[in-house]
Amino acid sequence: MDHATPRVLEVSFYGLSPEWSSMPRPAPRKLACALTGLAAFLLLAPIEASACRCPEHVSSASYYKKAQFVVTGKVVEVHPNAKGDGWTATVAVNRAWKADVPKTIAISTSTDCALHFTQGAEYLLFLFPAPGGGYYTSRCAGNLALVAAGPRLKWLEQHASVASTAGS
Amino acid sequence: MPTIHLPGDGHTGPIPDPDGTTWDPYTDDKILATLKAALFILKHNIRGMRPCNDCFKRLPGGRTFQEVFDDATVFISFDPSGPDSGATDSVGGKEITVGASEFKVGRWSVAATLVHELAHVNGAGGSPSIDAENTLNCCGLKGLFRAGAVGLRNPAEPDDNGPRYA
Repeated sequence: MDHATPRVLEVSFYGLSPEWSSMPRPAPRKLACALTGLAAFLLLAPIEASACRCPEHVSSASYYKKAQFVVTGKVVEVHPNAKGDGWTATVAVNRAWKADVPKTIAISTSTDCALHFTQGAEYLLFLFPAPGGGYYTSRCAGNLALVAAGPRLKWLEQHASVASTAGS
Repeated sequence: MPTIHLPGDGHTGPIPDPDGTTWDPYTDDKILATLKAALFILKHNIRGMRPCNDCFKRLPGGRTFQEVFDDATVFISFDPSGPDSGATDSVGGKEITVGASEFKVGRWSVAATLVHELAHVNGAGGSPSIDAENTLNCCGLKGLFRAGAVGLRNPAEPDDNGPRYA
């Protein structure tokens, strides 16, 4: 009992002790780690809320049927367009389906349904030819951050025709 | 009330987007009837709703829902081929188009899409702003709010026999 009492007191008054600063503090350290992790997640996760209203429960087949090119790739650069209602992203393509695309492509997106690209992020993208050259996409075209695209990628692997990413 | 784009009305909509989004006139009677039913909902259930009017007044355009809804220079077109539920030519624009998919869901979904697009007409920002969709929460259409998130939420993958609608 003599040994037990101080131990209980030490635990009970841990936070109130004048010597608290010299004691090991696992809780704040864990909290700091958690906050750092959360901040990194929020900065890196390409969050796309519903700026544009998209149909719900659309199948991968339907997205694939509408698009003319389907690729996975990493966003190298993002620039706002001249009109100020969208962006042009330079994307390094890793994989392609449906039709051949160069290894590096410029993708434009605009209007209230513009896709909000995050530099450095990887995406599965459903593309259309842009009138002035290059490619175009929008928020409701079926695009997903690659980390969240598992089932859709699986569908593509099973049903889509593989295309090449040769050339530049 | 916004003007419905009909064949022969002399109105020319914006040029189509590369993703297939178009601003076509309403030629199908059934689809037109659904649009009119949605506008009836907006006129009789939402137009006089104070929280909705207040919500709209806080948008960059500064007009109430009633004021935007009563603006006959706003056109509503039909989009049979694009991927969106609805689109407006630009933030602050006056050219709305409603996707064919919403008409398959029904008049309430069309009504919700129109509220979203009317918010863009009143200056609600495009991506990544969620101001337009948020207006549904104060306009009595909370149940039709779509929280869509790319990267965080993997949308349900329906069977791949074609689109399915809730």
